[in-house]
Amino acid sequence: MRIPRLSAVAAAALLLAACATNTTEKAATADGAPGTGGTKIGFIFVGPKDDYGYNQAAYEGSQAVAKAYPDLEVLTAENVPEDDNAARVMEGMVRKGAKIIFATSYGHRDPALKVAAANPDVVVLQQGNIVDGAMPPNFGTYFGTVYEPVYLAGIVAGRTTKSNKLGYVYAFPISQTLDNINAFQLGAASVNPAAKTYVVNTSNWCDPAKQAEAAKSLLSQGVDVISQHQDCTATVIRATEAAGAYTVGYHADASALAPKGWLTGSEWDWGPLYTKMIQTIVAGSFTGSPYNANFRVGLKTGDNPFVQSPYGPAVDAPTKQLVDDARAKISKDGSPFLGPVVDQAGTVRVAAGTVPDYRTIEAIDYFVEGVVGKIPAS
Amino acid sequence: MFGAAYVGRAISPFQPWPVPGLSRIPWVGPVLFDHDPLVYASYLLAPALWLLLFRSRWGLVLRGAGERPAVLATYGHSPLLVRYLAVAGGGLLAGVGGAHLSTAYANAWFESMTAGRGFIAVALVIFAAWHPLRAVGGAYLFGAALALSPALQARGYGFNQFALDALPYLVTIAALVVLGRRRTNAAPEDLTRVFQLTPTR
Repeated sequence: MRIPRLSAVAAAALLLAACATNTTEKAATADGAPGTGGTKIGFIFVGPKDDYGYNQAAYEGSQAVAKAYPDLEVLTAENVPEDDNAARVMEGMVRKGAKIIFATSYGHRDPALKVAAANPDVVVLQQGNIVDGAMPPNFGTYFGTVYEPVYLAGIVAGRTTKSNKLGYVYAFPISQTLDNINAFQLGAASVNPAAKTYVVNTSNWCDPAKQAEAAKSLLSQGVDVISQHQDCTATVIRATEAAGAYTVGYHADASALAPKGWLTGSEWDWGPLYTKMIQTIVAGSFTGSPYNANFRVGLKTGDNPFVQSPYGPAVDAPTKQLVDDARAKISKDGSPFLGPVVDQAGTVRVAAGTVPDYRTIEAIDYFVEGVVGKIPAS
Repeated sequence: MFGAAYVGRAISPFQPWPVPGLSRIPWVGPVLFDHDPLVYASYLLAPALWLLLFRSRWGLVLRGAGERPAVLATYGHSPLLVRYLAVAGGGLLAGVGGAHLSTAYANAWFESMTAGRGFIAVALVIFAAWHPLRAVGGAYLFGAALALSPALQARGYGFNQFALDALPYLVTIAALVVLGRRRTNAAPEDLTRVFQLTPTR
């Protein structure tokens, strides 16, 4: 869906006006469209670039950008906290000449908005969060439809478990995480109605000691397939493999850590999406484009940057067939959350035959039927 | 920086080694005898250190270096040397403790993986009043506070997660408040002088 050029021009004009009131220097360098004319692209990550997880995947995406745009220098900053420090780091990148900034963690949204407001000539893109209300002309959020491959992995987990107990280690009860847990349980229950998902949260994106404790607690309850939503994933995978249980990965292909128990997983392939977004930005047509919004892409709409990981040796052919069928179905239906979706209390949350839109899904605040555990009260 | 090449790299961690026979004892076995070798080493090290500190001549010299260095010097020992050796030895043991986190417990290394627990370690020293056996008790107390939340969740109990996560720190503060009221300061006497900037005699 293309927004007519006219509105882009109008927005650019508005921007110029905004720039003029800000500093004349900025207005002079920008030719009107935010994000153009830069020599560098900045990426900030909340964790280390080699965590076998979220940050590594984003970092690899940034390196794909570096390859696709050899004349633009890619700046990266690791371990950027989700507070005003992030704004400082981004401002530093802008001063060095970056006109495009990717703030790749959920909690980077507010500092990213601040930087976007202070630098109307810079496009700031935020990964994973959403902006309610009016979107600034030089801002956008983007994400893949994370829960789709998680649903598919849930099918594999449901087929594999012998105890009918699946485990899920997560960090915080945010909607993105709840979506994953729900999709995982729905996928498992679609092939194994007796399967239940036991959840433990760690209140941290990467706290290996807590993760080890969580995995141990789940395994001692008879859980035999464990998945997770953590930034660093090695600890849980290793604990699971050592106990002879099965692993469903997240963020990256970590099958090397679980040669016996690896089933499948979900992993990022950010390169193509980052590159496409940058293409739009450097062409000067960001404002008003689909990326100047809460951009979400899934199996039905095409390039989901979140893809299924390769299978491990324990997955049989009938299971793979079930996954293929489910993928085809989601590509047609548009969502694994096609109603009816029933929560833990038995209340129907999505009516039969309804496909919830992403805003509904990204505002989910409940566990579906079959998830064991409560969402912590805040 | 040093060690950066090792970040995120897969390692061959310590494997759990159930003690034959003992690990089969119901309840006690899995709790005490189904761990990695470093845990068993801690069972032996704490009493061994207690013996060394409080029942050997070597320990007397070490404690003397902290309490009354002047006396120690009279006997021909160098308080400074003893202190340096003690710090090196203590650092070695603390290093083993830290290594346990990455090589035996979490089986991976990540930046900031201690997640602020150094604060608890410092509190533990005060809690233990410089006594190795009390340190063991304290370590298990803090460890239990850390493990409580996942253990409850895996069993499907719903508690206020954030209150549970605060528990280790509440225990720390409570321990410090209670122990801080003790009349006798357990810290080695001469070590308190360092902070008063008077030269060691």
